[in-house]
Amino acid sequence: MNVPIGKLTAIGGGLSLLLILLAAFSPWIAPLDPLDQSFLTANQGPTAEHWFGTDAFGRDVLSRVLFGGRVSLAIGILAPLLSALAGIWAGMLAGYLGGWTDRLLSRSSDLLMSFPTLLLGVMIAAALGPSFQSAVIAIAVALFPRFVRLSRSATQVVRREPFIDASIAAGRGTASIVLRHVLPNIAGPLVVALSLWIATAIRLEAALSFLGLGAQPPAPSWGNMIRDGMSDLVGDPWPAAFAGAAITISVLAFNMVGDALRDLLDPETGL
Amino acid sequence: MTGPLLSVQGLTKHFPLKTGQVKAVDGVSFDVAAGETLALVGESGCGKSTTGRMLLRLTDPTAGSIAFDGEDFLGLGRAALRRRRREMQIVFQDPYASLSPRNRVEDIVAEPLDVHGLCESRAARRERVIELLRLVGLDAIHLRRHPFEFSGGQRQRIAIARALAPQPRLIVADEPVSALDVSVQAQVVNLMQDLQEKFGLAYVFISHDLAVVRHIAHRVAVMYLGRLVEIGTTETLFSAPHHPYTQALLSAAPVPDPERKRTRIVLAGDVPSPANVPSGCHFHPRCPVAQAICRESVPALRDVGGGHRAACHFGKPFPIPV
Amino acid sequence: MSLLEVDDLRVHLFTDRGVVKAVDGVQFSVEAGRSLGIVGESGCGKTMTALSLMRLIPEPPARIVSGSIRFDGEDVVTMSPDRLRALRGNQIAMIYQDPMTSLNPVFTVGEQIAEAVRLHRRDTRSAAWTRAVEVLHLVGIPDPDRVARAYPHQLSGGMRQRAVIGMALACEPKLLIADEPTTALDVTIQAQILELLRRLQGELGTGIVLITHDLGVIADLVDDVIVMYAGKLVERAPVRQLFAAPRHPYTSGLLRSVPSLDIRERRLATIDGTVPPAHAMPNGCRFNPRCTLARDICHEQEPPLVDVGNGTMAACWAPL
Repeated sequence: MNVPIGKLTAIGGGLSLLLILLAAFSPWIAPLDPLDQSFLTANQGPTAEHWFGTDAFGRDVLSRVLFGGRVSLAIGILAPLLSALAGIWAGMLAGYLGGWTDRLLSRSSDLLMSFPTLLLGVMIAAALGPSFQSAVIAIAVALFPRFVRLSRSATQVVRREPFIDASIAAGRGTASIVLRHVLPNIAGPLVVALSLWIATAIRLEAALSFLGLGAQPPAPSWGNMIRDGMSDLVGDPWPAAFAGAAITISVLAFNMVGDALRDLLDPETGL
Repeated sequence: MTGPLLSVQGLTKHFPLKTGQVKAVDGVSFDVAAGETLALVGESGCGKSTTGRMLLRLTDPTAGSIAFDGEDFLGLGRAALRRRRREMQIVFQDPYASLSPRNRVEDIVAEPLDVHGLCESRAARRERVIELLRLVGLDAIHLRRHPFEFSGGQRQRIAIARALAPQPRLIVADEPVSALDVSVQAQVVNLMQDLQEKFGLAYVFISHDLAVVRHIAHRVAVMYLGRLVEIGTTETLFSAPHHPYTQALLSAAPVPDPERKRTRIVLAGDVPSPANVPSGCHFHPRCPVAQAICRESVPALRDVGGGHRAACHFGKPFPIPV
Repeated sequence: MSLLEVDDLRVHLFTDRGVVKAVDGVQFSVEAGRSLGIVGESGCGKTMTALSLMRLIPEPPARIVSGSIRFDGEDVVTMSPDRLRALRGNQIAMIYQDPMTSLNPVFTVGEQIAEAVRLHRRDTRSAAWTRAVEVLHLVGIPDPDRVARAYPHQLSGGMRQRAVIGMALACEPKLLIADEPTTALDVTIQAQILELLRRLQGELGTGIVLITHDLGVIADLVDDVIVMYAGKLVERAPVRQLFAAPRHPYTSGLLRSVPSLDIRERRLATIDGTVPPAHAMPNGCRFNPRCTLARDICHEQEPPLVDVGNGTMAACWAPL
């Protein structure tokens, strides 16, 4: 175990955890109600009272960033998890069984992959109508083919390992082999990918909300805060700037977790 | 015990290609008696590993039959096949790849026990695994370790312990010592022989190393390009090889003795690709004694005395040209 | 002056877990036109020794910490990068176990050999091509014109290894380093390649350093042998002497553990135990935990490499 991995894990993991906790406990942490409007204090920069300033409606930006994190991170984490759950199984089946199962699953995920992720997300979210749920579904579907592809190719590699043959020779059945031998051996890259795609999903959520396809105002999300802030970027840059910073920090943190996990999950270099 | 433990008839495996097919194994027949070691030898592409895999149905044969203990093995349904697999296990060449890197030694060795529900309790399972590790010369302190913490020889011992777990009657060993260092190789060969004596195991020992085969096998089958070219007891095959390929193989093996400048039969040319095999006797383009007939007709495996059989039109021990 | 003189070579690996003494005080020499075999089991340092001869060791983590490697009187250890490049592939050539590692799949065999020639000689393209065909012929490839225009994957394993040997010999090196050149090949093909190396050595007078774990190959090809164990040189002897009367218990154990083709022993002799892990070497002689003849001194002090007669050097407190 050498120092860089440890540091990266500590910083990335700590930061991610902190962000999640801040978002989760925002009702108790936030100094003010994020929906409370006050035209007297609109468009202020940071002050002792409003650390992050206020937006065009005089709402406290700090409180809105904290509450917005609930939405953004919930979508950002939930969507890839759902996607992984479905995609990993589909990929393992395709990779292990091969044949028509593989052709069917690969072709359909290739079809999905042929759309740019954002475009796909926008199309689905638009079709379902803007809401929290449709943002989750849109992002999950957009990421699904990536999980299928990764899990399929990783499975194909593991499938050829002699220890799989040894297991067949021991008398184990297919489902059991996939669960006991394939999954643990492909889990490393998948968990790494999951944390990297959480970062992607946070960006996607921001993009969807920015386009008005995510969680609906007045409830704050980082994406719609940027959208709102864009209208007066020169007069009051603070809401967009702090929401943007929150997105950047989250994306960085989950990327760092991904890199650190890659090393930690290797049984030879891991703890 | 009346019949042989394992009886293979006309075993064939063809892999389809875009054009034509690869005849990886082409009508191979042999028996293995209980408690006996049959070695399958030959060079890469001769089909020995594919044959080994078919014996366990890790690869499905295109044609032929396999009888295990008198029962048709290829016709077994899924459940019956899994039950039969208890009795035949496999050990692979690469001890680095044949053990799942994420599992601990205890779970690796116990896998066949778990699959066949052979242990009543966790305590009994652990006890049995410790017993198996002792059998192969490893200590119980190794239970909780991962494969990467072991040397190649130790890993091969773990693989052997796993193969022994369900008390099989036959173990197919595919180049089990080829990846090991010489001194460790000797340890594993001795271990395999001890275990055979103790449990009456039969081995199908697949190898390209003739010296190891000479040491461990009771009978030897030589394969060339998917076909069996010679089969006989180790003694007769090494002292009086009948097939020119067997002779060339024996004379080519490097011997650790600089005093003995042997005359080698250095075969010209390469082993042809299995996708494009020569007509007649597969060996004829490289054979030093080939005649016209060898190009035209496939020689049958004929008895040359005492159950020793060779597939050569000129069924006699050829004088090795000195 | 010998063609190659290696003195007190030490190559250490600086890893997170500590320093691994991969090669620890190796000395030998190779005369022009003679061959030396380096034999030992995995992890004994034989490949690291071979790579050091051309300073091809992976730096970091490896580093030559002391010693000298004199090639034709020049010390490779302190040589400038430019001089080193001029030497590599030109005066010292190397062939590896897997011929594919030396061949680029997207160029024809002839192009690659010609390229290697032009790297060191100011030949024209056509002269270099002619040379390529010439060396393919030299290494016994039938129809060298056709093979020169073939891509590596179109050749069989044996042909590829011949082509690689041809490429190594294209600039007429004085020294050829061969790292397990026949290990990946089938027995009948191995026999062909060994014949080829023997013939070329006789014809071209190239010095050969052959690294292998296969005692049969050693017996077949080389004049002198060094045996390595856990980074240490344990014995050095002329080949016949080594096989007839090994002096180090490890050499003796190694020789006895090879099964014989002629007689069937009831049981193979073995060397008990395993090679100690690189970061936990025992005190004294590194072989002592596995040695049946170890005495007190073997656990305490490292044995020096001394002359034990008959042209043999052994590092043992109680040579056989």
